[in-house]
Amino acid sequence: MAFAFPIPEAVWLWSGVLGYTGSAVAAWTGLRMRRNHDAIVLALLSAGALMFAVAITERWLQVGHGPFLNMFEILLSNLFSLGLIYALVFWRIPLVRPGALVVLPVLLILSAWILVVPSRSGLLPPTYDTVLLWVHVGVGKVFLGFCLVAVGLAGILLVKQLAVCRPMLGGLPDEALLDAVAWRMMMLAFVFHSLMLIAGAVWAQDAWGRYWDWDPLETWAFLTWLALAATLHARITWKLPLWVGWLLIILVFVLAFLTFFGVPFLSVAPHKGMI
Amino acid sequence: MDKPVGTGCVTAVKIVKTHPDRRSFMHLSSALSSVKLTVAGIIALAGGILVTYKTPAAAAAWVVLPLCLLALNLLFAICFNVRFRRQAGLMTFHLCLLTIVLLAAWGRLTVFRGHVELAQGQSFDPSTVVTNQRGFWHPWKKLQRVRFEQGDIRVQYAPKLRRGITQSTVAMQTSDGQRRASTVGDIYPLKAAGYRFYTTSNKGYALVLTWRGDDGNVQRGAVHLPSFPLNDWKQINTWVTPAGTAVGLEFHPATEVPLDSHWLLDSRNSAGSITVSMNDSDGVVLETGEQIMLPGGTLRYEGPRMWMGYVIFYDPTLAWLLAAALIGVLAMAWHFWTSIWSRPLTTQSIDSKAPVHGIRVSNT
Repeated sequence: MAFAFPIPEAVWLWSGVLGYTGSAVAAWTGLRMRRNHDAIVLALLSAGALMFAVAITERWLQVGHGPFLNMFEILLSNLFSLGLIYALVFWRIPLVRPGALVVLPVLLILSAWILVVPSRSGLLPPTYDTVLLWVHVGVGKVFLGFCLVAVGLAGILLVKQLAVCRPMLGGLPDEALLDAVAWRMMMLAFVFHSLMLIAGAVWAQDAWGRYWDWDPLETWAFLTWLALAATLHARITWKLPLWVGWLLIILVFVLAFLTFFGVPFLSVAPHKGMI
Repeated sequence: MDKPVGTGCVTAVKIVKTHPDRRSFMHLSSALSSVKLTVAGIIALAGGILVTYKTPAAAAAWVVLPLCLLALNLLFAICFNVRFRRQAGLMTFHLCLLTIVLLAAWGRLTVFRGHVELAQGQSFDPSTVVTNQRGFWHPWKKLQRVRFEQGDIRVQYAPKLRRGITQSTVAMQTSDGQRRASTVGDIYPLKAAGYRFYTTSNKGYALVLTWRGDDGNVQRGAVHLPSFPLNDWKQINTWVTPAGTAVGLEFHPATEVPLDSHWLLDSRNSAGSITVSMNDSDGVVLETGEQIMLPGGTLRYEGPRMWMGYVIFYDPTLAWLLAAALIGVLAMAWHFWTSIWSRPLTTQSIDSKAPVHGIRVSNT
């Protein structure tokens, strides 16, 4: 089944990329022109996420399964989920909005990446035909979304420390307040990352007869969890300077990014050898 | 006049002298329950994981030792950390973490991993199981309780031989003696006596043969051929007759494997002839029901069946692990909610009720 007048998936894809690009441009020009472009940023970001949702739907109808298999599908689904989660948080929690200056370029990197990745699809393995996969992937995306919100704040606060950027970002809300919001997001991320590991273990037990086998994705996901746990413990143990905490947040996000995108990129499939 | 000692405004302070042993224990417990040790343990564990990830041959101690250190740290923190006692969610989360570590250790001691091949019509025989991993305390006798018989096997294939759904029918005997057939496969393992039997991609044909010896002894069995269709080009195996003659058996499936269309490998449609050869001779082709005279007896070809390869897994801690993990995450979320998220974000510089726009313009 397809749309009555099928529009190629690439059209929706490019529309989504344009939406995110416009959103990033609006955020940065707002900063440069010293105007509040929040409404434009939110509108374009939401439109972009919607376009990616349509692209996913169009592809789903064509290939018969959700976006779970290869790098293209992983990037597509994450562009949608990260855009959607960030748009919701951006809308509901105004304090996170300065982070858009960092978050949107990250989404643009993913957007550029998806344009050069082969879009061919494979056959969904029978072991992927389970609601556990949805739960595992779903909570994983929520984890990465909250992590992205935190890294946006940590990133912009770090940038603000540079003397050259300080005049431009001088009007940011109080650093301690933004820092507190960023850490709250990391705590949320920790909860959802834990749920992702649990759901993944239950799925792996059913699919491959073991709940944990240290495959590359499992290993890196666990290392990310450990990094997040160590970061949260370090923050309450030592009176870390704020900038060290922000660096730690970015480090956790880099690990998570490698887990979500680096391992599948190197392994061809999300769980190498398991299909 | 001198003031008498101990009078006036001096508040009496009771100095409790602690025994040196007790003091050193308190120092030790304080060190072992410290969050700094937690961070160090986590870093050591991450390092150990990286070492074993990069060098699979590395000793498990790289992971086990940091885990033991973290477990000890957790135990002492649960016992002596005052903050834990004040915050039930935090305490529950860490208790669950410790429980998970202990359950995982118990699981390693009682685990069983193995594999077995079963042909259609064949009953599961624990003595044929190949053991891959067996925990020191694995209750081996439990496997003897598993009773089931292999039924039909169906495997769907998409073009280019991409494997789809696997369905394996098994007949189990219930406690009241009834036979109950069920279909397992892929994410639905057969569960019996605490064991899980998972179908695998390893399956193929088995040749059912009847040997009638010159001494009147009759034996019937199946010779398993290499996995199909992975090895469809070499469906060959060797079998030694009860009389001691080695014969080569080559199976010729009646239908070819289509590469460019959907296809169903169905045990109910199994058909094909075999070539029986001795000493690298040309061999004799047998159809189903035909027989051949061999030194010491007669070999009759009863026809092909299919066999299914199962991976067997046993770990009695699975349900408890899941429960501990879920309770732990819920407790952590509860702790974050009660102690952090539910509290308003306020600082002197910001009125949290006022809308805060993304980028405040600086006039400086």
